[in-house]
Amino acid sequence: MSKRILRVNMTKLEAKFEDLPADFVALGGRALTSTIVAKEVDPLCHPLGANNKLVFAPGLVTGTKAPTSGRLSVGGKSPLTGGIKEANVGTNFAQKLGRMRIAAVVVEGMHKGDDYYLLKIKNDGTEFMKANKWSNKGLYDTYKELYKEFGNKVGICGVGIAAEISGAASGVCFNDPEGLPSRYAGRGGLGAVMASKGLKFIIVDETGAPGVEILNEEAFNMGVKKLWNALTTHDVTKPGGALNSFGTSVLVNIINEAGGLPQRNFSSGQDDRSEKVSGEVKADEIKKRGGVRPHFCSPGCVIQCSEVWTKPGGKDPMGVLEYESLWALGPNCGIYNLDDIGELNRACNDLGLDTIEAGGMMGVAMEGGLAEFGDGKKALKLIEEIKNKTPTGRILANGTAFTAQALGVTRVPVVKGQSLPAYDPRAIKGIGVTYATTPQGADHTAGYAIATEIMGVGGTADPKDPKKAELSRNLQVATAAIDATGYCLFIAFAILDIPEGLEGVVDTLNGVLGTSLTVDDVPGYGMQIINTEREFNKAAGFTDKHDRLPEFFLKEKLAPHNEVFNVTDEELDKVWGA
Amino acid sequence: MKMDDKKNITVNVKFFANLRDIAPPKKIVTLPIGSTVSTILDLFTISIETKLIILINGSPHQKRETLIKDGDIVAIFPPLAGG
Repeated sequence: MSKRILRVNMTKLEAKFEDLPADFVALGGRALTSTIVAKEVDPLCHPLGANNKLVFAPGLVTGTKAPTSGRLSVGGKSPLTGGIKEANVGTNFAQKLGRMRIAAVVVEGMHKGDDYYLLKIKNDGTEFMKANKWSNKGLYDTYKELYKEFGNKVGICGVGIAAEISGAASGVCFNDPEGLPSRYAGRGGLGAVMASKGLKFIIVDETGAPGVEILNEEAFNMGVKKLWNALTTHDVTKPGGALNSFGTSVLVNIINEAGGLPQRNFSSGQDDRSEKVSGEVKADEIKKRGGVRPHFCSPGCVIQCSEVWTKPGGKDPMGVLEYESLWALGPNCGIYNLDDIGELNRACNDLGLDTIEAGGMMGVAMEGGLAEFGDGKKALKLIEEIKNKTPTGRILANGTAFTAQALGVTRVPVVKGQSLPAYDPRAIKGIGVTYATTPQGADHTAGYAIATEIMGVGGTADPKDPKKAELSRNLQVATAAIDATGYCLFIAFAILDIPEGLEGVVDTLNGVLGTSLTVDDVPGYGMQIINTEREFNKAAGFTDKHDRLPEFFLKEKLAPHNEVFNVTDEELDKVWGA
Repeated sequence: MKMDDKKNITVNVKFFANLRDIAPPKKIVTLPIGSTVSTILDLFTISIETKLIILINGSPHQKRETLIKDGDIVAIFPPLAGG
């Protein structure tokens, strides 16, 4: 069986397998979602209309034994940014698709009427079922019911109430290893795209799957060994290292010390109370409560940065409480209480909200007077407005920029309509260059300059130096390539410093594809993806003037270092050579 | 002004993540003028070879030979990343 595309027509409620076109064979993950979206979606279409498409694509090595490779790309035209979107998630759902040799699921059209559907994908066929009984329900209870109905070996993708009300802050939810609805392709409102089509859930049952075809076993196994060695020896990614021991929230203290941890809607870069919600404190609490840490988001991960956060006493497992989520719903809202943040994260997961966008939204909502900064209980009540589909809730479900506009707030931390993540670009300029210039809208993962600017991974750079076009470009190009492979972006920490690790990645690609790529081919591959995305955005109406940060970052000094974002427009335009 | 004030500096040293297994989270220390990052590592018996991320007053990429000034905040982390 060769690799295939599953084309799902929601207008006709038909799903058909097609052979993967020959010119798509070397594309996976983000390379495939962005290529299909660019080829098949009118850049001027309404993102929530029948002409948008939602594309799911596991990476090229996803589903194999290659370490830390359980990633899935979800793509479409974003209702949040109006541009092309790739949201990335780690989940065994991705690995199951890979082993079924499904290179992509393309959801198109739109079901007329009010019914919601569930699509079950099996190795040899598909089945549509009505899903109305799970509409208007929280995803924690719903996922339990779905596992009861379909068995505990399936993978589940779903959207929640936030998507049902067309919220541009809604994400696409996937199961974690415990079956909790806690792994998200969160960014860009793709949940609303899925719901707009009448599709509520996708269930993947891999029974009888042939596994990923590997054309050159020797090259593949050699690559696995090299990458494994790099991941298990690099100080950042190795077992027992800080990322493994404390999770991504280990960043809270270092970014706070660097004066770049945004507080109270980006009005300061540091607050001593941040320590209370640090990775160190959280890891202690998880141990005391009987949660899980370390933990993997998908089987086969060496790094294992994930965890399962619980209520006190180990009750009600929530899933992972990531750094970005913790910051967005915590310090960005003046909240320094892990239990309040955990319950806000749970509410977001339950409703199908992107936690970064929700936290950004809550920051502007607090600045706009809907709650006091620091009032976690009121923040939870505001999230409930979304659950109750009130007019206020419908505003909040559309994210940071929409909420700010509704409330007359002018400090609006977004680029291309998407909320900034957990690093203030005034204190750390390179990440600001990435926020401004990535085709995705503000997204730290698009070119994670923090690694070099703060942690000294992949070299060092002064965070206050405004000359960051080259650093950001190189990272964005490398990231696009990694996002196509299905490897987690965190492998970059090891392979940026250990050349054999990067060779291993390329060896595994050659193993799967039967090609003879070299590491020198990687930048060109990544650049092609970025070019495809930029062309789509250009046709959707984006210009270089959209590759800018909001004005307040250029004017308002950020405590404690009193920095502004002083990267020139010329430097920003140098990223893509405009 | 006491004589000692001219000879010594006071520094706020912070350790994070796995380093808290071998050093306190926070400690105000008094050091002789001319002390460097290495002086602090020696004080806490941390090997000079240990890979670390060191920020002084929020500025990263500090070297072992960097001079410490009175009132500095020295934040010391193990290698880490995330995002």
